[in-house]
Amino acid sequence: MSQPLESPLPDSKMAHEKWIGSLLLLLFVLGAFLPVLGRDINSVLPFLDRVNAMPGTGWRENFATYFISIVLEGAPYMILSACIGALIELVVPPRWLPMAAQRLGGWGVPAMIVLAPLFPICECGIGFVARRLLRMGLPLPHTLAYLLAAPILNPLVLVGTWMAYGQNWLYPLLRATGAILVALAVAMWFRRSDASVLSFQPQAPAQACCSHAHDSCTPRKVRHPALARLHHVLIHTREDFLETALYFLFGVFVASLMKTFVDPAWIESLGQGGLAGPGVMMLMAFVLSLCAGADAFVAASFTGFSIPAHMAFLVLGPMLDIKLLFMYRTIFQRLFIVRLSLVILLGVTLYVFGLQLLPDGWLELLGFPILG
Amino acid sequence: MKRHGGIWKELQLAGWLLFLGYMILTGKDQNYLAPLQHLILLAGGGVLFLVFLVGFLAGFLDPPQPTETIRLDKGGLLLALESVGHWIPMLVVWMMGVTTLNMDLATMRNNIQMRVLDVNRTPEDLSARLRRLKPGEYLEVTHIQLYSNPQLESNVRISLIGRAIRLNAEQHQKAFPDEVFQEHRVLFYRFAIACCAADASPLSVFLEGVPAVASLADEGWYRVQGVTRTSRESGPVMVLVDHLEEISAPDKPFLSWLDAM
Repeated sequence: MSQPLESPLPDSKMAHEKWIGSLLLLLFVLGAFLPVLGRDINSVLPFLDRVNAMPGTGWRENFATYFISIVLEGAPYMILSACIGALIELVVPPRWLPMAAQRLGGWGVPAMIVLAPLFPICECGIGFVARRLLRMGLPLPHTLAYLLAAPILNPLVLVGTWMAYGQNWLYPLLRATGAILVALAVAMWFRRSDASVLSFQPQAPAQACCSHAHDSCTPRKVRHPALARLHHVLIHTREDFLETALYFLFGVFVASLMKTFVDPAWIESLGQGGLAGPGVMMLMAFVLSLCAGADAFVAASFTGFSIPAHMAFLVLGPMLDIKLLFMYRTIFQRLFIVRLSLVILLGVTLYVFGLQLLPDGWLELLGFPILG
Repeated sequence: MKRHGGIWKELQLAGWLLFLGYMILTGKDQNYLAPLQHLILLAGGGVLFLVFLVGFLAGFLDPPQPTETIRLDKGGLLLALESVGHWIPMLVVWMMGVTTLNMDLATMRNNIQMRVLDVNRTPEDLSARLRRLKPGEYLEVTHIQLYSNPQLESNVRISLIGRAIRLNAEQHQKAFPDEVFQEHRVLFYRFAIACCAADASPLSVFLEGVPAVASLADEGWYRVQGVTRTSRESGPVMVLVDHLEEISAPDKPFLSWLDAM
């Protein structure tokens, strides 16, 4: 190995963001939890006892529970998705994606949405695959379409939605329709954007996998093709995971704080009517930062809201929330994230108001029972 | 800033591996995750271990270059700081121990939900099991079953595990707007999750006739045995208490929506 492994994000800003984020996290954790430990500072044993102590009460426990549970839930998806991204890079020929996109022309974007359920990935991990696809030369609109649609079109997510809403197919159907329409609209909106919106340097397709020469991925003594491939996949899994992990942790940190201190009942009290309801549910989806596989179970409990308001929650959540904002930073420049967020909000709003414009009783006409 | 390469990355990865490994090997992850997520955690943890192993072994096959060693210049310190970030989850576990959600905060207490899981689904027919109950026996149920099976809502002897909190006058007024404050009523709740504790929803019943309310440990875990009744149509389930005993926290503090389906 003649070269050390380098970050695929050469931007020094990213490195600064990482250590600053890390410092903030450390200061918060020490500031918040050291006072509790201070009570037991007389000896070392009580500190060790606390590791397995009975759960206590108060905000620290709630914050820690949210933080640990989201990290425990999201990290495996990130690792597995990073691994899938590395495998895609290994299996798909370097120039195939840009060539296919060029050949399909305008149909390439809907084609990516149609393919999304075949590569179902949760929103915690979708960033890895999107980054990998961009590196391999897939155009930005195509990648955006996949990035936004795949977490919702995941069959497990749709089945979860079906179960959460009393085994009623209406909700997953409307959710999937919303995902397709919004992803399509957002992708088409950004079809003239170029690679300057990315937070990393896109590579030439021939060496798309990483920012260094391929030889350096594999130690000199590992030259058996199968072992070299395995090594290549695992090392790139490591690179991708570590590049994103701190952004993920910071997103989880902010989401956990919001979940601890912002009362959903207060957000709910802002209004449940035709105009306010969808807005409130979108705010709720953004703040709660739930996994797409679980959000329907929470949304279903807000029984005072209309079906379009529920769709606002279910379609927006996997596309835009606090945690995802930080994750998007590993793919896009800050300004583009702001533009992307606004366009997603606009798309979801239009979809929701489109549903509200449908005549009264249209659901009964379609034969769907309505939840009380 | 020049990136120093492999050694820092192995340290960062070690933080993650220690965190996931500790939670998996001690079974503590089940305090936070639903069963399906536990399996995904095992798969993710396995891949991470493999990644760590390969990076570690590669160090033996190719000795580190001078640029890969730990240096105490400015770049090295910033990388050290960055690496600390990857140890934050483990640090939180070290400092806080294994935690679970509680309703101590006003934000949680205001969000008490009594949610019927599935209005379209025919619940399990419990008639035969209820008939077989001998005098003095209680049917083991969960909060989810109580709210998803109308057969359990009144005049059934049940045994239920949950956490108790005493109500103040304001909370009592919210739950029972037409009644005067009754001190002996206690909220008895448990959280239900779909994937992890972050999506937890509290499910609560009210206990009536609780002996020695003042001696109840707020947020303590209890097993209650008593008879159910519903206070009003679609209202909260009430349990008239026969016995109440304090127990240690269950291995899995959260109920799973999916287990109940």
